[in-house]
Amino acid sequence: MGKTPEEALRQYPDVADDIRPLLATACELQKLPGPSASVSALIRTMTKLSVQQAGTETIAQRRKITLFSRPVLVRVAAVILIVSIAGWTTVASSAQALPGDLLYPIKLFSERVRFFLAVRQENKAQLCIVFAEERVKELVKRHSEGGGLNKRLLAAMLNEAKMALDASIELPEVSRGLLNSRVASLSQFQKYTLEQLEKRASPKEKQDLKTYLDICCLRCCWMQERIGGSEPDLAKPQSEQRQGCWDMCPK
Amino acid sequence: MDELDVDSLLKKVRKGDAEALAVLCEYFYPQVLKYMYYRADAASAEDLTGEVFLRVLRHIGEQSGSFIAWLYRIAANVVTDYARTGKIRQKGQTNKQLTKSTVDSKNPADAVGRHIDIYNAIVRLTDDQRELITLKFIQGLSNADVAEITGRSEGAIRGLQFRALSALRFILSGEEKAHEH
Repeated sequence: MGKTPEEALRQYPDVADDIRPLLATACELQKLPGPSASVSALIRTMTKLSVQQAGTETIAQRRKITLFSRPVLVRVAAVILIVSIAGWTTVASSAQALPGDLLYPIKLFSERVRFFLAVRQENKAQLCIVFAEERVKELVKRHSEGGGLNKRLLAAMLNEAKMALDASIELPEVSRGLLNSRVASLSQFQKYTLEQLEKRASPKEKQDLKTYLDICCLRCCWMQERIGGSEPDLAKPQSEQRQGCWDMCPK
Repeated sequence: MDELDVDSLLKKVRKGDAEALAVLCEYFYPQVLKYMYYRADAASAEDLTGEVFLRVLRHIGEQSGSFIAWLYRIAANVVTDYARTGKIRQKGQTNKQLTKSTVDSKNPADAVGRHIDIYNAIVRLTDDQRELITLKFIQGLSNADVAEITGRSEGAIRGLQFRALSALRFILSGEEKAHEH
């Protein structure tokens, strides 16, 4: 262990002739190259992980809700929490808030503070991805609780993804490549989620969803094409290829 | 890549931190892919690697001890389940992905040829031997980790590695003689 082949052979001179070819084979094995990881396969894996994680969190949230089966009690508890322990505890409690909840503006505010405090561009870009994923989860939760389709969340979800891509332009090549693969995975996740929502949506909601789903489909194709091809066109801020799907962010 | 604080990442993943999960996946993906390539099947390595990380996420709450050993145990189980489907292919894998990795070699054609010979020889080992060769020599894991992954003692691992290397050497010698003729 930890010895070079020559050291091992010197230590066991009687059997050196027998083990020399085995050590040579072992050295060859250690130098065997690994296959190149294809970006599309990594994106597929990340997308499946995102879907699985979102599903796990939804089930966990539903279990929590059963502890307080009456919504009035939930709101009373939230108000008492704000009054008795302010500031930091309030922000922590707002993490699970949805649009329309008392603490939702605090949740959005804390996200903006985190974004403002992030110094590195890479961290800002990654935060945008996190916030975009959070909007997707809120959208699903809201819809599953009978809250209908929230267009603001849909728009916010797309806008955060665009902000992540915009932030990636200024990054060095290696970081930019990695971030782009995450943006691609995010686009896939958003598309998948909207497709699932469409199955459960009312006819009116399907009509509203179509615009956003079309944008997600275009973005997925665009990201696949760019990542599968050679380097950055993504680096050109005014490239005409970036017009279209990334600029179509409904307000 | 800088050394990863795996314990800290695992804590975050257990709390549902998507970013931590992405970092963990991106860091270990190439290692698991390489394991799948040599242990299972070149054609299905990417799909099997994805399945490993899905199972990691599913069972992350049960993880304890060495994360590396736990990760490779999951990978070994994925290979076992895949082998039951009878889809693991034998000799004659395409090695386009390996070809790209050897482009910096002084003599790329010979290097690629040698890698193909070694790959085809590994495929002809017994299941236990192939597992040990992949974990110990190709992935570079310690005897302690290999013992934990395979459920054997370290002494048994040392014995098995001698037999596996001897078997591999024997097969490769036959390949070399075949090339000479």
